[in-house]
Amino acid sequence: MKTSCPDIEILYKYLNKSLPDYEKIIFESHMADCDACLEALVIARKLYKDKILLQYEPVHKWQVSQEKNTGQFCKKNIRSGKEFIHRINAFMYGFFNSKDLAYARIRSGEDTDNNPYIKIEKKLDQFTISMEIEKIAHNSASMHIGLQSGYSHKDVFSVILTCEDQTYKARKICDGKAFFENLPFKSYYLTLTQNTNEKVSFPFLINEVGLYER
Amino acid sequence: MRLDIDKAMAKLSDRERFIVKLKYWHNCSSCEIASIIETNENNVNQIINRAKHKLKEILKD
Repeated sequence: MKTSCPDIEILYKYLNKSLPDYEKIIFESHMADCDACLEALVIARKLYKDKILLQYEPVHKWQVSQEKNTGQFCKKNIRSGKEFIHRINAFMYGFFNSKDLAYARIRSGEDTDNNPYIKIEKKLDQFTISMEIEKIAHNSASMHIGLQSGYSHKDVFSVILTCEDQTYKARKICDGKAFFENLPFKSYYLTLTQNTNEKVSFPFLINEVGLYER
Repeated sequence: MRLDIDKAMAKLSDRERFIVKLKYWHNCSSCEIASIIETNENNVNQIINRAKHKLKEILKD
């Protein structure tokens, strides 16, 4: 018999391995029959395991102005369970309802006059890549890629975005920056090359909610 | 066919169904599942194999 859906605290305790055994059995039994909760569990676990993405706050409209003024995305380390719950809650809310609160939700310029971008930094070996993503249509986004560290003018750097359908777009990095426009919401594989040698790669998905590492 | 699979899935134990769904619906690796349910990979693979065998028998009937 399908039990009622567990709340976010139970989900957190389960992921945090602090759920008592008897509750764990009930939780797992529920997951076996509730596809929505199972999907939530899988997503929450990915988020819980992703140390880099977890540094980012859920995006609120009132935070965006700070982003423009400082030029940096507002970072906050998430340590306590309460904050985690807040984050997962916000994420789930955005995921299922596509409302204001969401985790790294891609915004269009219409959403705010200040700064329409989501900025995410990703450390890949000795390189730090920043990705600024703006929703430009209901199913596509543009992306500014910046090489924050590891860049030198002596070498030729390029970024190649390979889409799930094997089409690709390549851009040379000039002054540490490259720009991709009109990227449909799909899965991509970002490859950074230095003097035509493949250096690092990063698989991710962009959809109407945000960007996810795969 | 879908209905048959749903019916067959319903005959698995809760734990088997939970693991099979994680494995085949959400593409979680055995290693990931092992970390979710706090067991080892071999145990996960055993449960999956047992569940697959059960499903095969059920669907045969």
